[in-house]
Amino acid sequence: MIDLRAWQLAFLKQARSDWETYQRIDDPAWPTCHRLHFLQMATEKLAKALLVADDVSLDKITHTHAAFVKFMRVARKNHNLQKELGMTYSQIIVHFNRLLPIAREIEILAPTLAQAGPNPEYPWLDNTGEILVPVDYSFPLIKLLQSPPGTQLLRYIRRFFVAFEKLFL
Amino acid sequence: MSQNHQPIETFVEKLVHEYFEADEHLEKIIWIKSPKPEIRLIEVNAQTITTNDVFAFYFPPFDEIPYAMKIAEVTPDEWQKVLQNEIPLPMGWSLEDRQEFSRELVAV
Repeated sequence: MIDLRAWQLAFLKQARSDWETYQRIDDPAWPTCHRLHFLQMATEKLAKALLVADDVSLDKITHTHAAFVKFMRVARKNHNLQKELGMTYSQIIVHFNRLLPIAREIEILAPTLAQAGPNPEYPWLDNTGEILVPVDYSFPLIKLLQSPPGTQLLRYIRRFFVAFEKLFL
Repeated sequence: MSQNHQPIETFVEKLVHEYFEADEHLEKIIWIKSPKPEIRLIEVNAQTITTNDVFAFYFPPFDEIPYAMKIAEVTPDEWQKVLQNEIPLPMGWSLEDRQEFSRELVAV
């Protein structure tokens, strides 16, 4: 018998470690690709910590990378979160809709979703045939994360990590 | 009967109304009936992203809905693929015993 709660907490623990690493290296002294890589991994595993609660095979969970945006969309229905933010479901839909495009930009950093384009892990070919290396690339997403919706999204992600047990368990 | 002596249908209908009212892009909600005391919903929404999976997110019971909820969101195309068995449902879920709610049939 698989102990799903134990798996859930395991995903959460690893997600929190990724998030902590992201926070430690979220400094211009560090290459942008590594900062974004840890942000992408943290958010992916955060979403998977909810998915793993039941009904989805672990194999499928570990092999998918498109989980964070759906997590953000479905999390709006969480009454604990609505209560925490002091918003109704209608209000939280409007509010989160502003953040979803940036969440999607984070999600598609995963190489398998980047479709041979910019990603924080592996070199890729650009339109002119030049090989680009993540460590040399200035990801536009890093600027988006400094915009008002970007900072808001990061605040929510931090809140999800701090209060995960209260909100989602 | 539920923990608070109201049938589970009452809570599902409450959620369905709430969701249709709040989200104009929501086209359909499918209630997948479960032998477990939980509410399983698939929402068909053209605004969501395509993943070709049905991923159900778990939410714990709360005051107004004393059931755990598992909610998945799919695009209309993905829903068609689910119906044609091209995209599998989560483990233990079945289309055999389901109830569909469409916006037209739910007075919002």
